[in-house]
Amino acid sequence: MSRVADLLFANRVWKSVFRHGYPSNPRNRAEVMFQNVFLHIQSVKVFKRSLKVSATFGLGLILAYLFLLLTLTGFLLMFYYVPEVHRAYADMKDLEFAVSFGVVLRNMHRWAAHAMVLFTFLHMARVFFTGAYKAPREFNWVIGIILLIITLFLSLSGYLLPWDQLAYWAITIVSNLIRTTPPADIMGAGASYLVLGGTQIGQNTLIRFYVMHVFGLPAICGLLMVVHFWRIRKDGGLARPDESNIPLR
Amino acid sequence: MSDHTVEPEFSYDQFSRRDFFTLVGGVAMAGTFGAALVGSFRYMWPNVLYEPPKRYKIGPPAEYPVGVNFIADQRIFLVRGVYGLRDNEYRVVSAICTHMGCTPKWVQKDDRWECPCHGSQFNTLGVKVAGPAPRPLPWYEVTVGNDGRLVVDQNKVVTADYKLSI
Amino acid sequence: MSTSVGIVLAIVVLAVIAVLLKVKAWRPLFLFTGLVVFALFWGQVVKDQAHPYNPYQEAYKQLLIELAGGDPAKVYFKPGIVQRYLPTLDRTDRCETCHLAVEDPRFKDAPQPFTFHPEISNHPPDKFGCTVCHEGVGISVDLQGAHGHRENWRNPVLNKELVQSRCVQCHERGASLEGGSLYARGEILFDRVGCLGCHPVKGQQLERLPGPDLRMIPNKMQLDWLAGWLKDPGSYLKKTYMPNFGLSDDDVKAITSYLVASARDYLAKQGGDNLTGDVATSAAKVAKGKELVLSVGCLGCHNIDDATVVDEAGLDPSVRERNFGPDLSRVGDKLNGRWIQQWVLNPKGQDPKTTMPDLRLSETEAEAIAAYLQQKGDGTVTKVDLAPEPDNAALVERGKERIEWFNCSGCHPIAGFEGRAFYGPELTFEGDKQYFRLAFEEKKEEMIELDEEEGVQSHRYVANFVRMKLEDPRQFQPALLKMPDFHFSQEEVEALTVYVTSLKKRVYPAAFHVEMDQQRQAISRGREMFARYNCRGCHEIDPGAPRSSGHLRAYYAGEDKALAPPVLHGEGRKVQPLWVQGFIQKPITLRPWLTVRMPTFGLSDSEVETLSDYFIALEDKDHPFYGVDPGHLDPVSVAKGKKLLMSFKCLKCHVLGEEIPKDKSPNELAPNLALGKTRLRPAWIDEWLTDPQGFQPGTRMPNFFFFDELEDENGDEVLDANGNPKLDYTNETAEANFVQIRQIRDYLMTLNAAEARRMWDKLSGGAQ
Repeated sequence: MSRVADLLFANRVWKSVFRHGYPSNPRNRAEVMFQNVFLHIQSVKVFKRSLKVSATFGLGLILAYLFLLLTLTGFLLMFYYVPEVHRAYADMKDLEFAVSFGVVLRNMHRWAAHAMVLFTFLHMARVFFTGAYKAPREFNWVIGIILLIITLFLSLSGYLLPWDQLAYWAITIVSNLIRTTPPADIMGAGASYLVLGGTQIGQNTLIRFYVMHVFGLPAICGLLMVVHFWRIRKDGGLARPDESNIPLR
Repeated sequence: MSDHTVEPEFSYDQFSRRDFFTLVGGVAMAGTFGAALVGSFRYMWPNVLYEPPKRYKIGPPAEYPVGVNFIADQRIFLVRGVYGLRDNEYRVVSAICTHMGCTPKWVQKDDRWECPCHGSQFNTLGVKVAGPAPRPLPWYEVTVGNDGRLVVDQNKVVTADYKLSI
Repeated sequence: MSTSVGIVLAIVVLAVIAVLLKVKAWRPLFLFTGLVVFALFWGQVVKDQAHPYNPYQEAYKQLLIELAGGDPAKVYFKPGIVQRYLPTLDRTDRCETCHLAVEDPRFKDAPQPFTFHPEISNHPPDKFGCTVCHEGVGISVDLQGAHGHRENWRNPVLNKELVQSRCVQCHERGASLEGGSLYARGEILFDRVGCLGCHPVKGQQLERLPGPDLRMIPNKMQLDWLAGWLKDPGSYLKKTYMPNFGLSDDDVKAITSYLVASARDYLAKQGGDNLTGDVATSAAKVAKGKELVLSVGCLGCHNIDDATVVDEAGLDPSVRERNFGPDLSRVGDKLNGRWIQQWVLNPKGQDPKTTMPDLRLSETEAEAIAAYLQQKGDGTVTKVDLAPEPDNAALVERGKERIEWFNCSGCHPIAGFEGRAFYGPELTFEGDKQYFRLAFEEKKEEMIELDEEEGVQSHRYVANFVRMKLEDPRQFQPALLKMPDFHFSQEEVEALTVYVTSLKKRVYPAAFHVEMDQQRQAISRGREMFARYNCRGCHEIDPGAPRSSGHLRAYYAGEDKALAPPVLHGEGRKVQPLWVQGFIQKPITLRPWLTVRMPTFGLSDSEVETLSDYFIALEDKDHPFYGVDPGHLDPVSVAKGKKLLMSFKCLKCHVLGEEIPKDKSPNELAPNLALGKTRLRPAWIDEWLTDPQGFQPGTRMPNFFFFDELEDENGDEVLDANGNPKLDYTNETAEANFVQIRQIRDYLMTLNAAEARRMWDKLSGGAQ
């Protein structure tokens, strides 16, 4: 066995990719975390209390996975959907009628989007009730708020894309809301003009919402998520009760 | 946990229920990802096309007189009953010149197709006899559909000796 | 889908519970969730193959195999979506995924969804797809979805006749289309019923108000008749277009009071005669009047119970249903005799806009007709005891309000309402109406319940709304709605539904629009004229028209057919346009033996032109080139023609000049040859003489010229489409015949009145 292991792990290719040996000793195990771009996000060491499920209920992680799922399904959906007013509805229906697995992909995208809003609220409630927004984590709370708003904007912009009656009237309501921004005849009218790309919902609106939905908002969201995670590490891992009361392990 | 040099021998005693659960759960997850991958691949394979169909119906066989018939809508020639064919035999050849895509004209007196654009000429087998065309005109499979009309399938290019007998 | 969601939610809930209960068994949980997700994903892979159309395609394949004699190898069938993509129409139709045999004539009698679609004049599915005419959801591939029986979808698939409402998306209105008879009927009805009196439609207007002028009431009516009529028009005239407004006694009294009061003032201002009361009568007058009514042509438009319908089968059911003019069987209960006399004498004098023509009756004839009609009536008319009180100012004022409310002036000229109408909803784009604007009101809940039982969404469909509205106009909100009840028959309801739902924006690209060419336009306008003045009541013409014609002929049996108004088939080919125009404006006696009269309609020049263009268009003839200049005819040919005319004994039947031979019965007479010069097209004379029997089968004109039968190379005779031998019109016999035919024609073209007079005198002198 050992020879097989050596053959696999003790060569130049492995070393050039992973830069550490087989994680069979503590040093290598630490290296695994350090050297891997995906894993280094985790602390090398964590508080045992943080490992308890009830510490976070894994809500943040679930959100990260939902974002990943939405990105993947959204990526696939973009292959059949064209944001053009004469085609959008038919394309959406095509996914339902004529494309293999189109329905399940669209439904995954839709339900994951709903779930993302739900879990964002749960996540924030957890943070709030465990007091995890307190110093030194205030900034991360603010980022979290921005992420919440982006999540809602993502949901909203995605809502127009099927280009059906539901979509049309929902965005009508939203644009009317925007229009009431005081002072309504300057700010409100201007903001609504900017968002709709005109005075009524049309091709301009659809392409604006589409570009924001598939690029603008996810890009900002991803960027802020990186900052969000990085701050968790820099702020000392997951929040926990006053350190003076619980000995470090 | 231990040094890899002292790896214990495998035994069923040590393959605990925990390990079994982990293994089966892991396999199930792998299977799930497999399904997702298969699904994604199948998803990318379109079932309907927004383009003129390659397999299409033309009229019933009796509609076309003996000779070379030009069918303008689909840009094909239907050859019936001439050049080695009996009256009940049919062939279909593309009416798109292989040079620049003009429509060659059938010239009955010379028994050949002549392209008006750059002078390519094709004989009764669709083979170029003059001009710049790089390839012969392709012949397509023609069959009789369920409703008795002729069906041309441009996906199936056949040799010049292919013929449909009715 | 919802099951998957349920399962996922169950997992989430289970996980949360597990966490809350501090479950330590993580691995079983991992195993469990892992297996569930695995099953869900692979379940999707399987489910993806279970298309809603699979059972239909399977069944179709079996049918194909059966047709191929049970050999599956002979059948080509590739399962999957069958799609027609029509970029120019911006449509994708997948109907043929289930309706697999629309192009396969072998499936002519197969049940749906495999029924063959008969081809309708060059609308191949390659070019037009399905939903362009049939509506529904082309991209959908499940039953409910594709047929549009889904929530929020307002264009369901159109059943059978309703498809006709789509023709005008590309074709022009008024073009009678093959397969569009119900639509055409709706179009005529919409105009005839006077829908436009209340419902504006952009681009359409009433030529004249459909109802009679009510400003003549005191002169015209017996006032005690009015109230019963208003309360229930059907009780007096079963087939009237006057609808039932469901008026209360108070309303009836108020309205009649206003009508009488306003009309009295109007008539006083006009300064006409008082025409109340009956004309002096006698048995002889009544008998004479009856004879006139039954013979001069009143029956072309009116019904009267004294007339015996000889040829029941010859009458168009739609005409039997509602007459063009009112039924006269009980007219004595309604009208004043003296008014009838003035009316038939000169209808336009009483009402300049009436379509009733002038039959050129003499004073005594008019009096006889009045004497006859005024006693037609059995007194059974419900005389409601609601006499109008024109002097009751309050009542008159209230009557004015009610007339305004019910918009009586939408259909009738009423004094004090000139040029005013109080419109109901506009119908210009009624077919496009959004379902949430369909005011089903009190019926809505009931309909939704019914729809849920039947799995449709009929309460969202315009056609359904229109149909219900026409069947029972006030059912949605009896207390508020005012549309009256026209007592439409089922067929009329369907026809009007088709028409009203056809009132939509045109959505297809201009390249698909079919404009009528000049000929079709002329035909369309001519048909309209024939309908408006009811020319079709007397004259048989235009077999392609949406409704039959020549109903009056049904009153003439057997031999008497010769006494019926002439059939106008081929008229445009036969007569010169200028002659037709002159004749319609001022009819002259053409067939002196007829008692039925061609009336004077007082048409405008453009209307007359429309009619002559109509005749020409029907025959595919060019307009101006018809004449022969007598000065350029060969005198020899003319002289020979005269000889031929005599030798053929044409004058044995044909009249020459104004006089009718007294010793002959009408059956033996033929038209005046002296009119040929101004009336007939020379080319028609040629055709007619060549083969009268072939030209108008059954005519009494014998064939004078005989041609050899055409032979093919083998010496066999050649048959035409009807199985008759074809004749040779090119050989020497034919040449000789044509020379003679031309000679006769040339003679007729020179035959003027003076010459005819001379000939006639000579002939009758010779006979004596």
